[in-house]
Amino acid sequence: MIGVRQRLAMLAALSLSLAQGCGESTPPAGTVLEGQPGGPYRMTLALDPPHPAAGEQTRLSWQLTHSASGAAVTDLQVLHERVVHNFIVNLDFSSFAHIHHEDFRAVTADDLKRASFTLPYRFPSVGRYRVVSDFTHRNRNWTKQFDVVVGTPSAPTLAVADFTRTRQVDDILGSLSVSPPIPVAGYETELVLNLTREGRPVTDLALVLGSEAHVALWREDGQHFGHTHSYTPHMASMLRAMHDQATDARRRGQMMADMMVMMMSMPPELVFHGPEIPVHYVFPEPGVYHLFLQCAPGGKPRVFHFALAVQPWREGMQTRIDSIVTRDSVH
Amino acid sequence: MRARRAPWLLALLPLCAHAGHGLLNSFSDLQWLPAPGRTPDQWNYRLDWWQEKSALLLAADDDARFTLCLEYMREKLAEAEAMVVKSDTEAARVAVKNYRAYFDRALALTTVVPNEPTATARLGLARALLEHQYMLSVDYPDLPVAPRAALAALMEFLDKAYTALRAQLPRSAVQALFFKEEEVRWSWEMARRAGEIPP
Repeated sequence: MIGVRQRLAMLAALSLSLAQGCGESTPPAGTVLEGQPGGPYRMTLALDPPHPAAGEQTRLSWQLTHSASGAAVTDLQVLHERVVHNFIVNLDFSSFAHIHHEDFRAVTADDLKRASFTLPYRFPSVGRYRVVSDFTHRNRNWTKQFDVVVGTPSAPTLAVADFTRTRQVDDILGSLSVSPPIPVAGYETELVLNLTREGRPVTDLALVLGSEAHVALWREDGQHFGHTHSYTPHMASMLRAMHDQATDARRRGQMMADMMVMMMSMPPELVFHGPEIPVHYVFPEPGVYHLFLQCAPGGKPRVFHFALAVQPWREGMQTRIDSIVTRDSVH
Repeated sequence: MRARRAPWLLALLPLCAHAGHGLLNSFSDLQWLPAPGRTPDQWNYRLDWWQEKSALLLAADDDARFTLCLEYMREKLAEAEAMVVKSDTEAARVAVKNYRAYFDRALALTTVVPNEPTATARLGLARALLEHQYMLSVDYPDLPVAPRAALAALMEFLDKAYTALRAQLPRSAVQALFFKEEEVRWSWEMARRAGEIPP
């Protein structure tokens, strides 16, 4: 039972909280965007000009600081040959870029000291864009996202998903196969890009930024960004070990921690020469996802865009992977 | 211990060149902890307690109450971290105690709502526990050594609470949480090493 005095006190507290709420006001919009989500690092993105126009050059400048102290993050790790990987996508998924400071000029000691990076970019059309910046610090990978409006979009952004599994880019035909045939949220999916050039299998794949493939993907609502790479037999053995319930859980954690630290400093190696590049991914939630697969047949980078519908798990659903990597069926 | 780890690691060496930033990042969409707001070391902290009590009392239904409990758990966690940063062990313990009280309330609410919402609520609570463990593991190495023991104890509690809750989840939900669970494990292991606390 709650007494009268307690009820009165609660009412007073509630009134006070409502009054506090009424006093809040929305801060004015600025030209420096704040990366989301929050967390131990703060990343800002400044745009010049502040309101980008389609086809015009915009300078994008990032700065990364520790949230708690405000000090620059001075000891970023280089992963896949770049300090910060940036992915820029129109939220209707009509354009995509994977772009870095180093693509335009070398990162200097001063850039690293200030944790400040910049590049020029031309947003190809009017629309709503999402910029995702991906960096590594203390052997952990982090992403921050920013929303940029280019010009004055007249209508809500509508994405069109083309579920066909072949794409022609220049002289290369890319075909995507998926296992299990219907991807299930929360389970591993194997995606295999098969490349042909004028009807013949591509066998001259080169590394792009230290990997045979970079895959960036988003769900259609712009959520659930992911960035992954080609799936090697060694990665397969690692995931098998992770799934090995015979190993004590704490020990699995120790092994993964060791592996994560080591993987940050290993040299790149070309494992897949073509025509197939396998990728594994665990789609976190159901929905339609847009995938941008970047690879370099003959050393020339190309991007293949596919859409994929991911289903929620239901009893009886097929989750077995018929893997081209292990040639065994794995769960 | 190192020697026992070695063969497994050797097998992984070449993998590392290809495993990328996205190999395991199942918390990339995580909403980090809010600003702590009023904290247990402030004279008017009691006001927060009253506001939370009032909101829970006036909530439309158990669903709304459950959502509030999850929100307050995040707030208490933020308060606990803030108090550890200020090396105020006693205040950190108060925040942890309040966190556990809201967890207990949320857990109780997962048993009073009808079947389908119960499963959803349990899954929501399980996800929250994993997220809280992950955030603690990331922040832990940077926190002052002595007072952060309160958070190590909370981490232990969260692990046990999650394990108990997991046992009540449907198979589909458990499988879908697999990568988050593993990431919490290795993340906490990295935190332990960075923080040099005894295993």
